[in-house]
Amino acid sequence: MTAARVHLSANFQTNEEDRTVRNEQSVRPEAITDEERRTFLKLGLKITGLMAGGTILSLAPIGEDEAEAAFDLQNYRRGTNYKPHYGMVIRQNHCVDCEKCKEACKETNNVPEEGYRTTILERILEPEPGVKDRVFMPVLCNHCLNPPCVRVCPTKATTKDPKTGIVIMTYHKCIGCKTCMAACPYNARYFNEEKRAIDKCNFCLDTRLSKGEKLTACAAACPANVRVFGDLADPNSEPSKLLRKPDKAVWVLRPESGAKPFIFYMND
Amino acid sequence: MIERALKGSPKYWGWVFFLLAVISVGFMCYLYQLKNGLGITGMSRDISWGVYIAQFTYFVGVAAGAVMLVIPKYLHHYQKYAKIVVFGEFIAIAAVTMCLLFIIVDIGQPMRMLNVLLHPTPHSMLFYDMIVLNGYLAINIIVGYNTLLADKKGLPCPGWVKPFIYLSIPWAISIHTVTAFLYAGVPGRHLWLTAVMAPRFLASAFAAGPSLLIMLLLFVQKVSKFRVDPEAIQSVAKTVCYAMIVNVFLMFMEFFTAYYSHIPGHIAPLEYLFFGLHGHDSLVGFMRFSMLAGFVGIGILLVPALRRQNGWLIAGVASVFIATLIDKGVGLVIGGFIPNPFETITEYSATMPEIMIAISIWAVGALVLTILYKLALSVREEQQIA
Repeated sequence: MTAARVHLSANFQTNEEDRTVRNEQSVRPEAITDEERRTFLKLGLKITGLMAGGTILSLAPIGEDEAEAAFDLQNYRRGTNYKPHYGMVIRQNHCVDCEKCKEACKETNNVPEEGYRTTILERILEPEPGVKDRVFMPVLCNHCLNPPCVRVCPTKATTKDPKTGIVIMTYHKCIGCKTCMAACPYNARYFNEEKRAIDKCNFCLDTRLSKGEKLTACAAACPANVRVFGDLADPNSEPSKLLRKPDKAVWVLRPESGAKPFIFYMND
Repeated sequence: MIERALKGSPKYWGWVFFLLAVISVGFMCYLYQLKNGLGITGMSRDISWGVYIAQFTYFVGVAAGAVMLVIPKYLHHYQKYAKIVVFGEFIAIAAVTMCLLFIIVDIGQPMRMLNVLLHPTPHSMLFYDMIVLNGYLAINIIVGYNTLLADKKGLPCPGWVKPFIYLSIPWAISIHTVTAFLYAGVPGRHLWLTAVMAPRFLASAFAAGPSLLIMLLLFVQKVSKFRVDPEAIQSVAKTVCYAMIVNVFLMFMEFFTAYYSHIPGHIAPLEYLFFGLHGHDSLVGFMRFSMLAGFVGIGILLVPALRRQNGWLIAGVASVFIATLIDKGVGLVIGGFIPNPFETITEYSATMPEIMIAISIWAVGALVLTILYKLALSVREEQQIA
């Protein structure tokens, strides 16, 4: 819990500089109500139980104006100029592990048997003694704002697409050194034997988005609308609206890596 | 001078052909790997580097160890090392050759290897590793060959070689520092994310390289007329001992930081390596043996009465060599991947072809070393007769 709280205050510190721009924001640790603290505690315990690496990114403060409240996405992605800036919000509690997303991904992107670009993790939690809670968590490339894989690649085979922010592979440049696999905090990469190169999720950039489709294959295939994909630079896109929902905690996986992942999780 | 490698006893040729046979078996395995892909190795999504990169890391250290003779000889004019420093440099040449081969067999698409040059990427540590390793190979070839040639002619070392000798000192440090940065620079791998990674690499390198040199020097005295000043060997043995003490000290720093801070992510890989994690313990025996061997080695080398007897000396340096080989050439790399980023455990075990390829790279190193040592010994024997 201590670690999570330290992290929370670190997040508020980020907002501190923001306050000079928008002085309406009053998010100080001491400004959190008891009820919020309890919600956070509960969530914190839950998430830590689920995955020690995945701590809360932001406890959404209840603002008077909805637009001012919630997780501050624009501050999070400040310094980037991607347009559209693709990202995904995962409504984790809606996932039932039907695996339609995995199938659609494999089919659309010609993913070989030995690998996957996205998968669903499963954990049994015990939030209270005697109570078993099964949680499904879809994972994929986090298309980080500060991706370690891009930093370590010796041949510029993996890069951030300058237009959309998608972390892409240029297969013919990849020598298969696998350093990006070691560097990725999300286990999002695998070695594709057919391509003789590392392969990973690219939000279906080549297979769907470039052909005019609006959604990734996994998002389109999901029957429960768990994967909400869209342009996070557009405040009116579906995922942007979700992130602004009041009184909802938004978190990312392994924030301590400093990679600034762009896949957001919430229980909506 | 090279022609001297072609004149040898039947034993010499027997050894050379044995090595060639091992290499050819390994080469067949490599062709099999090229055809079928990395799937034939034990590497996986969770363990993306295996025995190849682990051994690569170890032999970068062995190569860097040569500097422990170069510094006393050329910076402090410690003349007892004058006759043996070239043997250290030749170990470096053989070891760097092995490192480059380990990289080539590890990468999934060697045909595209030149992309590292065609698309130079200064923010990638692997880019610098390529530069420093090839540079170190070139420097040691230049220095080793020319100093030996001068000895053969009975002339002092030519002046133009001197800058390369001095350059080889920081360069040796750089090869292992950059190799440590390959690991220490990635987020989310707790075992590797440590500021003492490079210092520990250097300490274990300065233990491993010179301990191999001692074993080889004691061996070549059995098969040639070349005699090494016992005091020189004792000095190298002390270097091994001190370096190994620093290495073990730094390892305890890792244990303290992990277990006293009690940060689960830092504890988990150490727990896996030395005690087993959730029933997964395939490396525990190796790592404990490695630690024991390290202490035995230090114990022997620390006591002058033992160190001065060749039998004990060999036991001491062999213990240090094996301890560092397991610690760095197995545990460090595999342990870094366990548990994986999503806290599940996939263990690694090398496949037969993978092991054969690794063994054949050892054989290549042994062959390079055999030929180079043959040259050096023939020159030294002539000097002794003169």
